[in-house]
Amino acid sequence: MSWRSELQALRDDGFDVLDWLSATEEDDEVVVTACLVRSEDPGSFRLVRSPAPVESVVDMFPSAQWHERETAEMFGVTFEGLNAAPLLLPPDSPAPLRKAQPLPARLSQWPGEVDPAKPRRRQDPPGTPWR
Amino acid sequence: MAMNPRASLELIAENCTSCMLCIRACPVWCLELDAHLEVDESSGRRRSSLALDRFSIDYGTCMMCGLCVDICPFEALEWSSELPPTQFEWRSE
Ligand code: SF4
Ligand code: SF4
Repeated sequence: MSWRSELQALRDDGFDVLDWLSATEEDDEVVVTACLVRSEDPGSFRLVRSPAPVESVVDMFPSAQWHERETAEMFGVTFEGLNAAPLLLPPDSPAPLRKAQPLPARLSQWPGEVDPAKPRRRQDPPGTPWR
Repeated sequence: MAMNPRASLELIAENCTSCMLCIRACPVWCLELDAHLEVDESSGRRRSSLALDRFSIDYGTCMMCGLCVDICPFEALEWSSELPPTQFEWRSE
């Protein structure tokens, strides 16, 4: 089932509130996740996940607009049919939440780089794949 | 006034083996140490160990998460109720 039809089916089933939508970078793909809630029973929710790109669901859930625009600029993915005008970042800025994007705070020297017991072997800090 | 038992970190320098575990565990990179290798041949066999020269904690960056206290295998870092300085530095004499 496609992303849209999955969300549509849940909506028809009473999951009428789009609670949250964002993405995660997993291996080589960006996976978009949405959380739907039943307004009559806010404790019950469903998660829908699909690799990007996906179609926009703003016509179905108007509250998806903010989340889709934010996810589009933060992860550099497209939502087909969305007017993804920049939301928070200056135009043409790189997608900051992609793992390959250096984190400015992590460009300085890591205090754990050199082990005094083995000074010739250097180690990179965890979570910095751009190094 | 109630004391916060986790107001700062205490280094028990004589326990520290300069193993670097806390330095590498700190998520905000606010710990640093310098150490040198000391070789002892007095017993007839060559034994080397690390001697701690300097240990610093930047409390402007530290978020008091306690990962360094938890990871230290030698109980050389402990919680303390003393209020922290902005920058803590220990140096060997
Ligand atoms: S308490 Fe957390 S932030 Fe502070 S030095 Fe220890 S590991 Fe780093
Ligand atoms: S983990 Fe403990 S023993 Fe190892 S360097 Fe840190 S304070 Fe010293």
